[in-house]
Amino acid sequence: MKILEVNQLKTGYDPEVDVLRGLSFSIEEEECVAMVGANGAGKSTLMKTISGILKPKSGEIFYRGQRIDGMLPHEIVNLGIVQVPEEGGTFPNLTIEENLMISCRRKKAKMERQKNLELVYQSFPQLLAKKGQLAGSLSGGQRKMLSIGKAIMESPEMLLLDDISMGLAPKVVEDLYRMLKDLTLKMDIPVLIVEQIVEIALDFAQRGYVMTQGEIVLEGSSAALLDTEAVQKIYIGT
Amino acid sequence: MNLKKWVVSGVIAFILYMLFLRLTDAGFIANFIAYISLFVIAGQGWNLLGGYIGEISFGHAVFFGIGAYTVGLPVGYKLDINLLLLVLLGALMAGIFALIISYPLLRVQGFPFLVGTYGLGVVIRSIVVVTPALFATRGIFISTYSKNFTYPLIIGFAIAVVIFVQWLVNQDLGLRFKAVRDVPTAARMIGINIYKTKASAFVIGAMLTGLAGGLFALYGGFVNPSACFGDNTSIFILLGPYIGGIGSVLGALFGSTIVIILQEVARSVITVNGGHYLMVGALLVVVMMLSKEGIYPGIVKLVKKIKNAYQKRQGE
Amino acid sequence: MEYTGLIQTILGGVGVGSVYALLGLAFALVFGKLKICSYMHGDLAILAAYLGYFIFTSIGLDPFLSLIVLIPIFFFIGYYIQVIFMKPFMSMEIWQGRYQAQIMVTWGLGMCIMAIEFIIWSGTYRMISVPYRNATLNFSNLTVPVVHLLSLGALLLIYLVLSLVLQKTDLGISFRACSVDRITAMLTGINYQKICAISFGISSAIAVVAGTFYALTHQITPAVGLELTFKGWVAVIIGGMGSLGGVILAGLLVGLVESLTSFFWIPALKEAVLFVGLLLLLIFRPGGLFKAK
Repeated sequence: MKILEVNQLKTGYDPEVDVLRGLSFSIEEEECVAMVGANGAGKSTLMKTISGILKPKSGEIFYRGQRIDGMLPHEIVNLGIVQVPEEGGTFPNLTIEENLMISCRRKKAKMERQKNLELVYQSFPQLLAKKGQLAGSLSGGQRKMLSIGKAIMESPEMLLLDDISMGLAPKVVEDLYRMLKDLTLKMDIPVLIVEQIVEIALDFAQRGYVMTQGEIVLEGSSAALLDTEAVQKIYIGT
Repeated sequence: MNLKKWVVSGVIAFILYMLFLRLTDAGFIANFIAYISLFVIAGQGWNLLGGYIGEISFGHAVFFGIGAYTVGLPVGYKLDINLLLLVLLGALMAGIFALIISYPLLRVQGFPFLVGTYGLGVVIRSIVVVTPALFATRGIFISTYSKNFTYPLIIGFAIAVVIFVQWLVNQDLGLRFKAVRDVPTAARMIGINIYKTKASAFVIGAMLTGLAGGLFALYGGFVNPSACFGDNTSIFILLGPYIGGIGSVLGALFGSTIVIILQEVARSVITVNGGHYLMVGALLVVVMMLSKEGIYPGIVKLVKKIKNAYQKRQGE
Repeated sequence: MEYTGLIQTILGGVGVGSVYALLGLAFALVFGKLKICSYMHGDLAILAAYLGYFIFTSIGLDPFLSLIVLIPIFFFIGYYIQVIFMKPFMSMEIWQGRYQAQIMVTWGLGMCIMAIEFIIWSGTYRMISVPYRNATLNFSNLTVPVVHLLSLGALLLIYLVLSLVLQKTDLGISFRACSVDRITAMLTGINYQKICAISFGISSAIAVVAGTFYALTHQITPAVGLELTFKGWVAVIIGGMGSLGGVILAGLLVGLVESLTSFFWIPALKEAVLFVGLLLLLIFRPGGLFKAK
């Protein structure tokens, strides 16, 4: 069954210019899919459109057969689609505990609160040590962890990861992805991942799409994609 | 050149008005047009700051009142000075006052500025009201020129002011106004002095509003605190450009006209004192909900949209 | 005796100031945190005062009892004002003229409210003549008006409840979340528009309390609404833009400045002195007197 299906999606910030120019792709059950492309290909725009921050100009998005384009962001979260955004993602004026607790909004999440909280603290012990502190006092890497932790607290049924590596040191990125791999294996849910660092993304996912200027130009299994010219080009480009 | 078109239309408008004045005996309409023109002048002055710099002033009645009182006070003290000279002096005084007051006011932006300008209005009005030397609440009667002279004078000034503002905003200074409004950081980086730019818009605008005040004294033959320094004056000076389209010369022109006409219509429909604000307030809300930039830019946008759609269809 | 007069004046100033502080609180709540700029709460307050007056004169219900009805009504009025009129501007950025647009819409609505009051009740000054209007408590030779004590009490109570709600409840935490990062709040599953609407509702409900106390200490006329709005904003500016505690102190200060000017100088100049003070403040401390760190 298709979990997420995107049909001929067009989005843009300006009425005259389309950033996504008729994009189509889909994600199957329990699948981890990577969306790779050079800077400005429209990957983050895609993420924002799926989570309802941006309204599409035309096209359709289906989640488990239900049409979700045009829904409000919090309604989409309520369906179980949870995004770890590229920027922000945490509330610096709230404590870490408050940050995590405020993310328990779905009915399912409220029931699984204790279990999820344990999972977060177990995966990111650094957060447990600082749980009473304001999120603003965390380092960049820890903030990303908190952002991921917040997503877990929602009991997601599908996870969107938008450029986790942004602004972080390579070592931190490597650690983060190792933890994420463990987490997603435990949670057993489909993941759509967008990443600047192509190698990491394709290593993380089973299948991938290559995006150029708002369109999908190539798709295939991660291993096959890594050798293609299109991906090599992005690699050199970034 | 574009400006030539403006000058030609201005001259034509003036001639038409003179013909109208000569050929008909429509005293009421002539009077009304002159009244509207006063607010057009003051509104253009407000628009320089409110529209082109983006700082809303809630106290432009201060400059209006300074202009009016510069004409009124010498008359009150029985000094024999040419009234036209006093009108020009009033504009100058308003400008000087704006220059002084810009020092504290322009240090803040947004609504501290708005509240500050409102406060300025309250301060000046209170001072006038309690000072016997300024004739307190009694006001001053001015034996002014005949209407056959003041009306064309006011219309002439209004046309000249509109053309002047249109010319100004396309000058180097006017472009700097827009730069400061839209991209303040970039403006600072290319060496524009933000404070000076804002202050020049403020001062020039205040002079125009002061000019309107001086002409008001000639027009009505009477000045008093509530007519010149009242909140109402501030409100109608700012509503015109805002409803018509801030940051647009034609928009402000239309806006002032519409607002003053609507105000009079509302007064005759809802005769309860203060009730006419219902229509004015509703117009403000409706305009803001439909087009955030005001009526004129909204219409321009709509026309463009329709044109585009039409061309698209023709293309297909 | 002069000495007692001064203390009396100060008490009166604090009493009046608590009305300004309440309005300031209403503004600071939606402005300081959610960047919603309202210029209609003074008019809402006066509308509530008129409704209180109407209820009192028609069925003789005490204004404090009518608060029980008016507070929920105004909460919903505020809620729907936000939903209907303010929502289109919530996605605008500040540099796109967000505040200007919000100011104009709310001001237009305030004008409509004022005009309706003019039409129904005319511009004549009205007074709610409850029996305890002039009641006082006497401490040796000091007489303290009961209404002032009540308004001060109400101010502190509202402040405490508000702070508690902001700190402890889910609503308060969501509110603080929305105040720093709108997008992240949405992605966290918080209904941003609803939080904004609830906040606007709460601030309107606070305006009701302010209006009722104003009506119990002053005579009311529709045009006062805009004046109260500006006084409330003066409190917000002096208080340092959005720190709730600072706004309360500033509001009381505004009341004090006014009553002391009336006492030592000419009552007609009380507002002039206040705004001269504001202009001086803008020169020396543009960030406000009690700026939050």
